Amino acid sequence: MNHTQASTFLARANNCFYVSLDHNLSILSANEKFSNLFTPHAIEPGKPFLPLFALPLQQKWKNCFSNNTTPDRNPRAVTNAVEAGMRTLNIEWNIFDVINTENKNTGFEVLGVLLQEPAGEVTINKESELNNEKYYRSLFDYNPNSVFSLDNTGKLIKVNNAFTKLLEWTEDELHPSPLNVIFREDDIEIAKEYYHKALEGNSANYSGNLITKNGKNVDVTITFIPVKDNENTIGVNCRIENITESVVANKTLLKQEERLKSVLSKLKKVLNSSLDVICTIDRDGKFIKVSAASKKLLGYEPRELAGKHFMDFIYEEDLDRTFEANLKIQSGIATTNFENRYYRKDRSIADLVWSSRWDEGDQRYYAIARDASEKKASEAALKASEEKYKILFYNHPLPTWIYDVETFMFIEVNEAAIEHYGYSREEFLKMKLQDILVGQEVQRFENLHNQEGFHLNRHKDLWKHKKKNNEVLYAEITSNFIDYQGRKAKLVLSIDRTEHIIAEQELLKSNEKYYYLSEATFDAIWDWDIQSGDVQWNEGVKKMFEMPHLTTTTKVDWWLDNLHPDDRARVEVKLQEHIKTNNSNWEDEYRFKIDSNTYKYIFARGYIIFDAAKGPVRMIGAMQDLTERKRHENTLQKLNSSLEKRAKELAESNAELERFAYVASHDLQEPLRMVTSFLQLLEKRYKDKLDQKAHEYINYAVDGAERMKKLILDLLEYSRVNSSKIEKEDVDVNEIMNDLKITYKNILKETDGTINNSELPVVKGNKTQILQLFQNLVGNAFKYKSDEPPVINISYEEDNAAYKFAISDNGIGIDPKFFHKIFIIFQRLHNREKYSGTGIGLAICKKIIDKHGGKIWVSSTPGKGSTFYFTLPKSK
Amino acid sequence: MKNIHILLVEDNEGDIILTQEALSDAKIKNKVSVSRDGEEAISYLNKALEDPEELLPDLILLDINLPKIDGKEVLHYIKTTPSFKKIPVVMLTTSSSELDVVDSYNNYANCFISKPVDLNKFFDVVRMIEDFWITIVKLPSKD
Repeated sequence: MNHTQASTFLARANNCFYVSLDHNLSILSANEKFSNLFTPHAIEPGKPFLPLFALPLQQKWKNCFSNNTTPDRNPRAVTNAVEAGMRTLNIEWNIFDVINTENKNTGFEVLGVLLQEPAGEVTINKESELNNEKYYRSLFDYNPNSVFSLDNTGKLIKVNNAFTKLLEWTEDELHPSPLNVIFREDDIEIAKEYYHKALEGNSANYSGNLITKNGKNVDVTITFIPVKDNENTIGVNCRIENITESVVANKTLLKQEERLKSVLSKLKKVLNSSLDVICTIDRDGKFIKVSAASKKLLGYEPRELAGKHFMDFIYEEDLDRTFEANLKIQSGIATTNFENRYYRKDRSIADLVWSSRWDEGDQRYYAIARDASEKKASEAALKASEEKYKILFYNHPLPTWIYDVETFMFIEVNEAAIEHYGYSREEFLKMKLQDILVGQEVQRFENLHNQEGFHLNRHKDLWKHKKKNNEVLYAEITSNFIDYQGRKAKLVLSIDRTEHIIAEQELLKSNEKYYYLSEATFDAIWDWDIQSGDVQWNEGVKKMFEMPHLTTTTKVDWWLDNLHPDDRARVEVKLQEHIKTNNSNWEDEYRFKIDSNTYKYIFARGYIIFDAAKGPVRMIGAMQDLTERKRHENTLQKLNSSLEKRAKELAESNAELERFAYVASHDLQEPLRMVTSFLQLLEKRYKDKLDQKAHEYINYAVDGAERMKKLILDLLEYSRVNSSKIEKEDVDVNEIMNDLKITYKNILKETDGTINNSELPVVKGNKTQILQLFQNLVGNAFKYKSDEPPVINISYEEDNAAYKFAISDNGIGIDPKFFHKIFIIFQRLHNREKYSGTGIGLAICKKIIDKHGGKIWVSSTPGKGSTFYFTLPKSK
Repeated sequence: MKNIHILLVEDNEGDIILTQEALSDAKIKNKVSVSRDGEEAISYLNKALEDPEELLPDLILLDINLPKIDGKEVLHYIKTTPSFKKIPVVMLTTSSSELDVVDSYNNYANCFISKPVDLNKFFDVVRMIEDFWITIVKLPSKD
């Protein structure tokens, strides 16, 4: 294999160190493995290569690079230890010359393979060194032969002056160094062999090459001499004899060829130890060579694939893609990370990732295929997991979205958000978060976002959102800051709390109403939490109990303790009974102590609220102060009993009055009758014996008796009106007038008088009394007539409540100064001679009107006439 | 024609005189017995049973206001005693009380007359009683 071709893919190889240098030993490129070796120093193009290594190694590297005069010297191998991090790695390096078309060296490619054994730690037996120092130093240094000493670990520890002259290394530079500093790579094993022989106590002569500090080969013979301390070998001294160069020229050439073979076999090892399938494919697409990984990756031995077309193994679906990719590669475009599927030998499918290029010079493809199954599997897992979260997001039953916290634009919305808010996904994704906020919330939202550290926090808050149909909802928002595809975003969960909030507001309002109501009312209102035993009292209670300093809340026991001792047991039992029987409506009356010796009568009414389990939860009620009412009741009772007493007295007085009336009607009349009767009997029987004067006297006596009789009868009538209960009935006043006209027929004739009346109403009243009323008034009009023929007019008016009658005459009239006297019993305005009368008639009229609930009054102009008015109420 | 026997139960001396005066003007001859209270009236009637023909009255003029036993009780006694109940009883009283009127008729008074205050009217009333009960009405025999 041509080294240039090899280098192309070696640059990408993971299992060897690769670096490419220009002819000045500056780095052109390096693979990752090589770069890693020198971490933390960066490997960059243009960086000098040699300073990466320790000083002794630098010289060795220089030697290797400079020995390039003939192409067949390629490659040269050098093994050295590299301090990589905490470890020392033994690496075998191969240097290839890069030759241009004019066969001139333009640079180098260096390939390193890690050797299995790491370089052992250098240990030095300081004690033996000190001993030797003492006795042999001088002798050693000035030995004319070149001499060097190795310790019991095979490390160069001492060299003398002649050595320095021959190989240019000073002791200071070497102490201590491994043998490969001065031995050629290929000679190390032999040198070590000799050394070990010497350690075992056998001197030996070695012929071969040593390398000077400047990389020059020196043909020498070395005698290995054991150094003994007592019976133990503690080291080896070596004496160098210089041999002429010419003797060994041919021999060296031979060795170079062997080395080339060795390197190639190692390169093959590298290829075959790679986990990737490294292959070359000819222009027709047939495998030329395939690395051993094909067995593991595809189940085919490399030789089974050789000569087969690479397309033959491609999974059908990937054929077209692969063919296209192949065309690209063929046109000179190197391809990396091309993925396709390959049939294994067992027909299972392998996912492969290809890196490939077409080399026009070599007329073949160089390709590396790597197993992508694992990658695929993890990608599939990732995809599945993404899918899972997608499902979780999109199908979450609550509205959920993601918005960009810098632009506030919606990035993602789920189905629930679309359904609940009414915007389509397309609409959402064109909207800002502010677009779903209700007016005043926008400012709040922006303020919140301007707060420092806002994005770091998780938020839970209540917002007023509007739906597409402008319906407002109260959304409980839980949000979390996330990094969404490289954008600063918020993941938001919205829970519609509208019903809850509205219910809460209603409750608040109703509580507020209850509060104001309970504050405003004079009634005492209380609210007993039966579970806790706390009772809330309103202002009204303080007023009612006259306890301005009463705390708003007390225990229910406070109330019980203040009940009157005689009431407490009864009240408690009744209340417990209500609670026990789930009877919500409670009321009771009791006395409540407001100070040490004052109780108030309270009427309380309450409503007990039970929970679903029928347990009492709360009782709300109101109280009324019955103290005043009780007092009134007591007063009323006293009043009633006094009234009863009075009524009884009155009844007695009425009975007396009736007896009086009886006496008046009977017992008073009896003697009067005797007076009259015997005067008349006297007149009758002794007519002839009495003179004129006697007759005159008898007449006066009889007249007096008559008037007295009249007075008694009027008085009796008056007392009857006063005492009797009136039975009310419909009284047609027209009929009354007809009766009167009949009664007064003679007088009307005698006086040439008239009674005028319009159509009169039917009134409610006692017929006898109404008749008497009209009779008295009309009678008076005749009695107090002037010289003119009497004209009596009877009329009436009515309103909703009463009838108002007017009886006017053209009589003598009444002087207004006597108006107040005329309705008083026995008051007379005129002498008996001119106008007869007892002075009871108008008093009876007034009594009748009083009895009927009406009023009577008079207006008059003396000499012109009088008008008597009275009213009769319509109802009752 | 046989003399008519009238029992006047009256406590008022004046009325007794006035009634007798009025009856003395009567067309028919009559005999007037007077009892001055209820008790006396009842005992008279019972005594009269010894010689009913001679002593039992044909007509009783009964006042209501009487000492001891009043006129209504006397009426009740007469009208519930088989020997007396056929005797017509004229309630002749100064009372015009409705109650007295009703009570009297309920106790089978034969008629109720208020004494007129005027003397001439009183005389007229007595004459009419005599006329009606003695002349016009057929009375039962005393047996």
